[in-house]
Amino acid sequence: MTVVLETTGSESALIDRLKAGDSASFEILIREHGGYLMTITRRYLKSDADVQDSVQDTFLQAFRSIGQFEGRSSLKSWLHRVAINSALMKIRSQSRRQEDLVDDTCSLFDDQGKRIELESEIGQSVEDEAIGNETRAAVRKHIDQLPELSRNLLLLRDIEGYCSEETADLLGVSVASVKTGLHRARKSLKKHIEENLHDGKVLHD
Amino acid sequence: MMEKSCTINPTAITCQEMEFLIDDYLENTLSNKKRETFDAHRDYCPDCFNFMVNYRNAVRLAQTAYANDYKNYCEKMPEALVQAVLLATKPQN
Repeated sequence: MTVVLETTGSESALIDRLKAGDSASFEILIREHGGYLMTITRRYLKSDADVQDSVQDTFLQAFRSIGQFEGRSSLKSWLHRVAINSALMKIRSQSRRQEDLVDDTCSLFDDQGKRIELESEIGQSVEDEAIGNETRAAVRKHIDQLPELSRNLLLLRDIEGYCSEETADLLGVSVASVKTGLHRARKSLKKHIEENLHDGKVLHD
Repeated sequence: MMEKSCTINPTAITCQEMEFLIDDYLENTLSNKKRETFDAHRDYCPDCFNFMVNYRNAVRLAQTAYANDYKNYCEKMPEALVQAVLLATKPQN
């Protein structure tokens, strides 16, 4: 599910100043959204150094491509997607270094900012079930331990709310691969929950 | 729902086919006919019923597990990183 967020009046003015190259406005952008982007990026990257590198790349890319930003989504949504692209690029570059099998024929970054329509502004699409921190941590830990592609598929489709086509574009894989991989990831999570949780409570670690 | 399902043969699809369709079912992208067949099989087969409930709950639990970091994220970008980005984007003279 995707939701297009319109830019607000004051944000529109900020975008105009950013496009004009106003450095003070860029600092406002960084300070306003930096923490949020670190939270998003931390879903994909483990080490703090990688998270910081990736967030820096996010802002550099945003700085370079703000001219193409059409304002069809909020700045936050646009930055969200840029941040995910940056994190995925970092993962891919690390995987190449580890000589993993990665299809590197696809450029991940869409610096035209097309189809920017996030996001599932959590809370709109998710039932706000009250689950304990222990359960939350157990579920996240399992997702963290999934194979890289499975984890990213689950995060992009079920957590970020991207559609199959957008996810395929971000990961450089086919839509069919997204669907089969997502099913595998969801089944793995289901099995883990059945084996380790009961009525939303952690049975054992 | 049961009345409607009773008019359709619940064995028109197998349990394996049911699993194959579950993601499209949850995203509401199945045709009406396939959805009705899916519903009929789900109501007929307790294993598939349990599979679907647990599968859907797993997705919801994952979403809930990440919901709070949107709502309550309190991470701050370190000042040194803010300055590094500002320096990197500063126009070169």
